[in-house]
Amino acid sequence: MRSSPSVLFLKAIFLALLFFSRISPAQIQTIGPGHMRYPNASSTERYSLTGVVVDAATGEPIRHALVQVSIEKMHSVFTGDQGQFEFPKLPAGTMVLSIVKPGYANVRGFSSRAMRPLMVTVGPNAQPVIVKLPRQAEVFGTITDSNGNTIENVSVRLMRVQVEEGVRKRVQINQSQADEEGNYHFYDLVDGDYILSAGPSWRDLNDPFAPGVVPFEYYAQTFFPAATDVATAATFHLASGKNQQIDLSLSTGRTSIVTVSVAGGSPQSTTVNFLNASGQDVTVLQRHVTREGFIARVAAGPVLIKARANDGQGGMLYGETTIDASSDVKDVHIQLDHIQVPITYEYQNVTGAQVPLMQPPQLRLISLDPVHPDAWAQTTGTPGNWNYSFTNIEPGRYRVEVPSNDWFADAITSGNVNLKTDPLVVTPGNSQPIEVTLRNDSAQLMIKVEGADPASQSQIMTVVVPEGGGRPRQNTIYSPNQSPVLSLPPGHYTVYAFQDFDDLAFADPEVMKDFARFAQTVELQSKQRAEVTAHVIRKSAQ
Amino acid sequence: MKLRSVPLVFMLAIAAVAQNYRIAGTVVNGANDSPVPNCQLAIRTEGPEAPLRATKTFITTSDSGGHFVVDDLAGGKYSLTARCNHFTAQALDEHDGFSSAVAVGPEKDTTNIVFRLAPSASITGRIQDEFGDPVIDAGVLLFRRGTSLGTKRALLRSRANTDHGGFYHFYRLPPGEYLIAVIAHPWYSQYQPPPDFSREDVPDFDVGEADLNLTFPVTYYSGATDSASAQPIKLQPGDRATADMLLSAQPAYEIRFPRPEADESVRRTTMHEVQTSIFGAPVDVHSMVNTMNNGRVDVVRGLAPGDYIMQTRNYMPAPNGASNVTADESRQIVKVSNAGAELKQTTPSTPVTGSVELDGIRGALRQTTIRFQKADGTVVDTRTTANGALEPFHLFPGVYEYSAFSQQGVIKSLEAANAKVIGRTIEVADKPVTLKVTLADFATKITGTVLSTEGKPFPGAMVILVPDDIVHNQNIIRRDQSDTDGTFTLRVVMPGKYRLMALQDAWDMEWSNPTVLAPFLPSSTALEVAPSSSPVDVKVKVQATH
Repeated sequence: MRSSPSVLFLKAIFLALLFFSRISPAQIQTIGPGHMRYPNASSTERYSLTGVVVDAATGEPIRHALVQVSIEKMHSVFTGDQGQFEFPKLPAGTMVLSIVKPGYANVRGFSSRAMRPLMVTVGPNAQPVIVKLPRQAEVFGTITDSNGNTIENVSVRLMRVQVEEGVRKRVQINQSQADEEGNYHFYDLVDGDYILSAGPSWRDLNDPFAPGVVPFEYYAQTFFPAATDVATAATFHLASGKNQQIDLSLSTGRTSIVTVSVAGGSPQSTTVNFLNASGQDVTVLQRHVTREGFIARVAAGPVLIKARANDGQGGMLYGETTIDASSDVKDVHIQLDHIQVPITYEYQNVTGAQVPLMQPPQLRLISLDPVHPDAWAQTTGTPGNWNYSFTNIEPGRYRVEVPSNDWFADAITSGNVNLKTDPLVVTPGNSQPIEVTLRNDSAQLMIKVEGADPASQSQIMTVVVPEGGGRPRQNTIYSPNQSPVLSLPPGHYTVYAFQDFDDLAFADPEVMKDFARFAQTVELQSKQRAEVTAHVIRKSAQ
Repeated sequence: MKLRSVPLVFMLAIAAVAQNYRIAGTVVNGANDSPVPNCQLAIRTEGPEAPLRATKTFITTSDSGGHFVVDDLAGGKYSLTARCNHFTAQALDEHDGFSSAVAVGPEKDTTNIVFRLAPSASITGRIQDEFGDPVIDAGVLLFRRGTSLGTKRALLRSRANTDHGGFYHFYRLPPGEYLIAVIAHPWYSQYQPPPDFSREDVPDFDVGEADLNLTFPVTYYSGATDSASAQPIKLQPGDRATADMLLSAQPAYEIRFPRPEADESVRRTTMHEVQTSIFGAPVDVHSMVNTMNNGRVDVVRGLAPGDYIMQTRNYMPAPNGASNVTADESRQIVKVSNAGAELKQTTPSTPVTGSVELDGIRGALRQTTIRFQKADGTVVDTRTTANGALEPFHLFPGVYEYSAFSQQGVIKSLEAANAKVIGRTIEVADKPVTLKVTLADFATKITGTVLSTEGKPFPGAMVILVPDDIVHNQNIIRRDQSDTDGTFTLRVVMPGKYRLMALQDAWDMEWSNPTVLAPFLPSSTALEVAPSSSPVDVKVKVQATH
């Protein structure tokens, strides 16, 4: 079967949204951009689309940039010497423009950062498009020791402080090796706050495990300007177009030798990691000494040893222990075990609607530790006899998230722990179930926005914060005419709308306090259909 | 002394016996003899006499005057390695994988060693297109024109990729003459399926379509597209050369080739390798092009005009179901131009089978790899299976050197049906070949001393042992470098008749060429090596070469 062009186009938009914003499909359905007209290729009317691509900071034209528009297939033109481009004959409609030029932030339909789609409308009265591309930033420099000797082939990492799902995080965005002269260079960076680190490394011709021949010359992982722990690292700002030199001198540190045996998994698949309290890998070098045994040289200090292995049946086994490695530690033993956290659902059918046999909301664990990945719950079994559980997740502390739709979580508990407010602590061998009580009397809230800047290319973001804690709900809309509709549990909410805000940490109550005076509060009763009008908070108007 | 990497194993302290010798000296920059401070020096017990487990390492650092000293050493031989800032880590008087070990003992002065570091040169550069944009991820190939393993040629030395700024760098280069070739595609290139591969109902807008089906031809420094016009870069020790290049895009073409008629009962896998020849070296361009497989036709896109070597290999499941074996293989030379792709030559490969036997070696045959190597550096390996048979493989017609990787012995003989064996070479034609390889544990070693014309121990000479027929026995030539007491060891020597000589300043000599070696043969030592005998303390007089 052939999908109609408009359906394909919609799919493309939804996929792009999913990819870039990690919004769940349930939320997207409420914000379908129904007001847009899709290009109708079968119509014979053709219109010209012209425009100019300029440097966002200087206004200088950008020549030989690739401009593309997708109507069934990708159509391409290059900008001329004055940055101008033209598609002479396009069908009428709204379409996504993508622009690529080395050294500039690429606008490929949606820029990954601000999720700002560059939508253009082609038709009889279309105006020329002006596209302002911000230049990318670069950072480069040399890694040396305290004597100024360059350190070759050392690992250099760049982290960016950015907001993901409303939470400010340090995200490693680049890693490379310094060259033979200790030089590194990172390109294509968007403006923002960054953390640079290099190491660990060692300069020794000797066997790093030979005991006591000479002091082992070790360079600790060092964060600019001179921290050895990411928690105390300084950030530096890279503005658009900036080409920043940052040299880094690595501090020497003490190391310890740790021997570990790991039991329970298949020896070939067993791996161990040595981490400090900030989740940094502090391994200088490690190696297998026996089938189950490892020897490692690690930075001296408290160390979390994490071990994992396949169970041979497609599952994973985990184990971990914390040691004090301020001196050599021998014979650490780690026993691996499965982790399975079953999930039970109880339905409180308030409306009398039929309890669906389909899947209940899929639980998600958001890691609260620096290094553990997030996880989705898994379903096994047969229709009518489903089993729900978290399996193959790493030990650690997690926040439990339950997406709400017609059914929402009234209570989430694990034993005596209220998981709405407290974290879930997962340990190997743990099998205390998560109990979810679902209700189906959610309210519907339509959010209208007013006061948006019609000239801005920026999208609008609505944020709904439940009173008394819990995850805020965020939606993105592309036009002030759109009104998202959310299913929400009964309760009190604060509603915000933002425009022009990149990287807003909306999950942080401290951040949101500043905007409280612009917000609307609303109380939703069971099954109520309510409407609220949020005044758009614009960064440019702040 | 031949350099070998010391495996990182636990090292045991060895019992102390007469540990009262010293190694001391100065590390200097070979370009200007200025001292090099803050070098890390590793001094390791050396020689097969010291078992690996007993290898002992002493570490020291050169002071501000470049001086280093290690005391309390037992008598014996030690290797010296220095790691210094801005220099490649290197062993004492290192050449071509050899260096001079320091012999320590009574009446040996080891306290005035001059560790002369070979300063390295570098080439860095930026590659841009005609619009001034960086050429990102370009493959930059560095060739060095000189003697390598005794043969003069432009040899591919290393390969780098440009970063997102279009920059590349090659550090730590020995002095010499270098050539650079670049394989790259424009950042905007898109090798779309041609119309007949996509849907037919794509509306025909006039959208002023830009041509993205462009590529860069192989470009040689400083901008030529033919290798004859490549401009060499001459590097003196310590030079830091800059070699920027500008590439111009050209239309890209494609090669299509039909897949063999599929026999549905047999699971076959087809692999294509696309190579182009740069200074005689086959360079893989496959990863730089776009292969599409549309049912019966494989398409390689994004090719600049030129000659390509297409190697097609069909795999079939092995009869025992274990792993895939090559069913057949062919090599085509295809000329790509704006007139299309023209097949210039097709060479099918020749199937080879065979077996490996042991002669005088106790126990069963352990897994052995037999290697066939062409003069252009291409290598084909085959392994033995459990019953001593070789895994069937294919060779393209031509002359190969053969050798074995075995824990049990060396090749005593290789007999072939339908191929010509001369010395350590085999010439394969188009008829299927059957091999019989015999392994024997009869290799031996030769120890000796290089003496100066005055009869004193001579360090740093190249010791070379050559068979009578050099041309057909390249891989049984043995070399070493004399240590500080003039001694040397040649290992894994095959029985046979040889000439032994010690040459001064011969590291750049084309020693695999009989004509080059001929002037030194009259003063060489004739040596007949019997199986498993070990000629010891052979004296050989050094010969000057300049």
